[in-house]
Amino acid sequence: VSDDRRHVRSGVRRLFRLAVRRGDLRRDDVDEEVRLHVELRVEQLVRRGLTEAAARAQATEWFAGTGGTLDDAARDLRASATRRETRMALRERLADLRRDLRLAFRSLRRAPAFGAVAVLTLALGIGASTAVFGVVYDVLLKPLPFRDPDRLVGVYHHGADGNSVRQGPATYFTYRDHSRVFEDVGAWNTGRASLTGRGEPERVEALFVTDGTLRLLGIRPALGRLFGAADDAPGAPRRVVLSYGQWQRRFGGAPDVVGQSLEVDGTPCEIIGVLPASFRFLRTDPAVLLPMQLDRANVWLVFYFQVVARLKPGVTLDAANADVARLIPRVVDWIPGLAEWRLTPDVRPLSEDVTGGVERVLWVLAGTVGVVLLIAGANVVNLVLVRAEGRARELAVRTALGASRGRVARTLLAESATLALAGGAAGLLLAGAALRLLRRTAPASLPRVEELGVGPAVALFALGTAAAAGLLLGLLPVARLGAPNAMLREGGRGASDAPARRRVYDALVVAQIAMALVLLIVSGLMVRTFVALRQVRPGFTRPEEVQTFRVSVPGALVADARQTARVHAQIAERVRGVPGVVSVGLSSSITLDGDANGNPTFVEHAPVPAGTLPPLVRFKYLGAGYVETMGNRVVAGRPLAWDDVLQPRDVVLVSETMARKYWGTVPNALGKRLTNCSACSWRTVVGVVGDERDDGLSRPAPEIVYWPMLIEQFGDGPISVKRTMAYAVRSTRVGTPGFLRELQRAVWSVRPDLPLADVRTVAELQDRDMARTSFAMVMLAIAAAVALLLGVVGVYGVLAYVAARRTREVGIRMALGARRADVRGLFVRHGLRLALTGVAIGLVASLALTRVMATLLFGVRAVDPLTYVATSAGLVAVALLATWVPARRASRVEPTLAFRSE
Amino acid sequence: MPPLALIRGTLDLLVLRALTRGPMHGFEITTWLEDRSGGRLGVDDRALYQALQRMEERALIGAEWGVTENNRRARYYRISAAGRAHLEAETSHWVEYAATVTQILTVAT
Repeated sequence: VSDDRRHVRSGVRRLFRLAVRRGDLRRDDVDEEVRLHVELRVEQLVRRGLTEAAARAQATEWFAGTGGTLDDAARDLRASATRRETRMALRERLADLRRDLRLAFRSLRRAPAFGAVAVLTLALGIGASTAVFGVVYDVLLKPLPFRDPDRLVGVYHHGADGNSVRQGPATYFTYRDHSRVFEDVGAWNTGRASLTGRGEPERVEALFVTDGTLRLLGIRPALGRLFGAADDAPGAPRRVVLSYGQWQRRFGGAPDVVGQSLEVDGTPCEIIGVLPASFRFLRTDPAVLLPMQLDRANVWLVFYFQVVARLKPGVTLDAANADVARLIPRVVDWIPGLAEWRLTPDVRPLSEDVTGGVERVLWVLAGTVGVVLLIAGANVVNLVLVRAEGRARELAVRTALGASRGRVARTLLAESATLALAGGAAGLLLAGAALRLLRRTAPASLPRVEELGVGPAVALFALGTAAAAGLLLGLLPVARLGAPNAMLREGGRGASDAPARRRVYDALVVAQIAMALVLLIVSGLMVRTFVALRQVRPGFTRPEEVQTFRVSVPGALVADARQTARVHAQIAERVRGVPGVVSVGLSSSITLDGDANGNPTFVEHAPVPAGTLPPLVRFKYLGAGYVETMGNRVVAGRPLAWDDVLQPRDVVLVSETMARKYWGTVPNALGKRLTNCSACSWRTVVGVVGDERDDGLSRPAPEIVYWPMLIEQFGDGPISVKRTMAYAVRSTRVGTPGFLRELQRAVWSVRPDLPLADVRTVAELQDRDMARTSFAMVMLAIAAAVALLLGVVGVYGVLAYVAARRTREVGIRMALGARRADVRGLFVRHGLRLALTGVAIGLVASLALTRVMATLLFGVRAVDPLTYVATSAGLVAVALLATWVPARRASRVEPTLAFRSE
Repeated sequence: MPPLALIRGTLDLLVLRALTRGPMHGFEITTWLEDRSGGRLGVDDRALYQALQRMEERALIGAEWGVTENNRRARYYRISAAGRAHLEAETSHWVEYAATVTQILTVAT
């Protein structure tokens, strides 16, 4: 009820500076008050006839209660008094704040254009930096969603040639059994699996794990149990764990799913558990999990899977690496051939496996956006300084009327805080929208993209940035408050064009131009990279016309190898019959689909020195038509036909790079022979095909040997066949409705239960490969555009301001006979000087800074003259344009008007 | 007969009432209340000072240091305009309340 009265009262109190006293004063009051009270009581009781001692005891008891002491009672009162004082002081301060904010609002309402531009600029700067911080935080900084993620590591090796080498059973078992630093070790690998027998046949992503993998991550099943050692033992009955999504989709979330059977690749598997909905493992998205069932009795020389481990508490990465280095000789004892690989340990935080490769893009981006924030800040600082100058008179009057410097400073701070908070709030909204947009459109190569959003950390960042901006913007004009009396004496006129002041504006503009140039150059380099990647010969043409999908013929369905190849040939023939299909080709792997392998290869007349391993070369296995369908070139000889495959003949194709490396020239390769094991028969090279940029458009083309998909004496029995083949289908109908269904029907007309997996066009594969580059390009282009815009606004603003302030000077010049062109020249020269200085500084900064992004570039050097010259020229031109308008306006000044305006 | 315990919330009113007679220090307020109630109201000394602090915070009373008749420094409390308004409103409320309660309790049904 008494809120209003309190308010009035506190106002009065403030007016007379009365009861707003510090708590310690009030505490002394309490002691004295208590003492007096007790004294008076004692006197009263003595008057009534008690002895002095009895009276004192009685008085004490009445004040402090039975058994209490006066000190206790006084302390209680002191404490409550202090609490009250604090509360009152806080209330006072809040009231002050309300008043300051009201004042700030009022004064901003009087200058709506200033307020709007400042808030908008701040919103752009804060919004952009908050959005990018959000991405950097969610992708790079936020801990992984596992138990104690700091102790999780990925265990890899460096090979002799510096490449990363994964793990094989030999290393896995050695590390698991003998390591001193790992609490638990688990292997994992991604693959694909066909699910049949219940509902539509489906080919899904599978995650293969050992029994330790899920355990060490701290995953708890939503239903049933996860794999134990018994499930992972070689030869154990096949069991499967479902992902939450797969459980929902295929089983409708049935609670009794555990114990049921699911056919995986034609083998019935018992379902033992369901993963929680929150399960995400690095960059995988599996539908089913299967045990790897590695067998130490069958340890072969293939390094294809990855290992994750949990460090014992307190173990450092260095210690872990040292321990693995200790164990590598044990592995070599087991498999002597490994010595040649000269493995060195590479134990690294698991989080690096998640972010794999995007850190650099993100850090460059973060730096970029920091620069945008700086440019926005410089703009607003300029605005605020100009405004403060315009208000210098008002502030001086207030000071002269008795407002303390602190008082005036508070008003200014409140004003900038209002601006900054409004800008921060708008920026946060912008950032939220940007992150939502990003979540929908970001490339698949951006890890953890589904986690993007405005969380507490992101909001805190925006708030912090806004607070810092508010403080800075408020303190600047405060620092320039200067001596008030001098201001009044000058009548607010003479000092306004002081050279010192103009130098500050000029410096800010130069800084803005320099920073904008850096961003323009960075984004220019990215555009050049993008263009260069587009011009690479990737091993295919018109990728948007090539549809690809995988079909797997499981051994449980067709056991015989020759028959399996014939089934694929039949499917190819049916697919070829679909209207609009130009050609069909089969390969175990499509260009850029990420299926990398390395196999020992022996080339005739190129003996492998004793005790060393033969070179590793990528193998692909073909049906007919792959090279032609992809639009790749046959450089020499001929491609493979179905006859070569189904016979099968001992023939292979090699890639151009392979041919040049081993036989010097392309034609020279024809008729030469190679094989894959020392005991196998030689195969004849019948054709050389154009290179495929299989590891990415920006990476060198690998050496490839193309085998027929059906091969006799391949080292694993009399005849072997590739059961899973990727189909490439060239047609102008790709992407039209119904086309895919017709392809599927064509496949099912041969075998009804074969699922189509990995359905995508080659263009999609190409886009995925370029995703990182195009993502970086788009983001940097946006940042550069914002920077350019803000920079231009800055140049324009300062020149317009200077022109307005120098109206009088211009008037005098013109009265003295200066022509309009002279006046224009005066201002244009000023603008040009600023632009050129900024460009010079920007060029130097770019030379230093662009080195950081060298690894992101392709086909263009970080010091690319064309980019540097073009962006500099463009920036100077735009800056001149921004100068032209105020210069023109200044030159239109009527001399008489100029004098009158003062 | 032991003194009557104060009913919650009435102490503030009694103190305000005391102060309508002019500025008083804490002990004066106590003795005035004891005299007026014929010694029947037991005013807890500590509760009194708590009440004074409370009302000071709510600006119902003000305080300043003064000197007693015997030349001793004492903190004198003075009722404010807000305090008078408060006392007036609360007194009529109290009277009405007490009458109602008394009527219910004492009139035979």
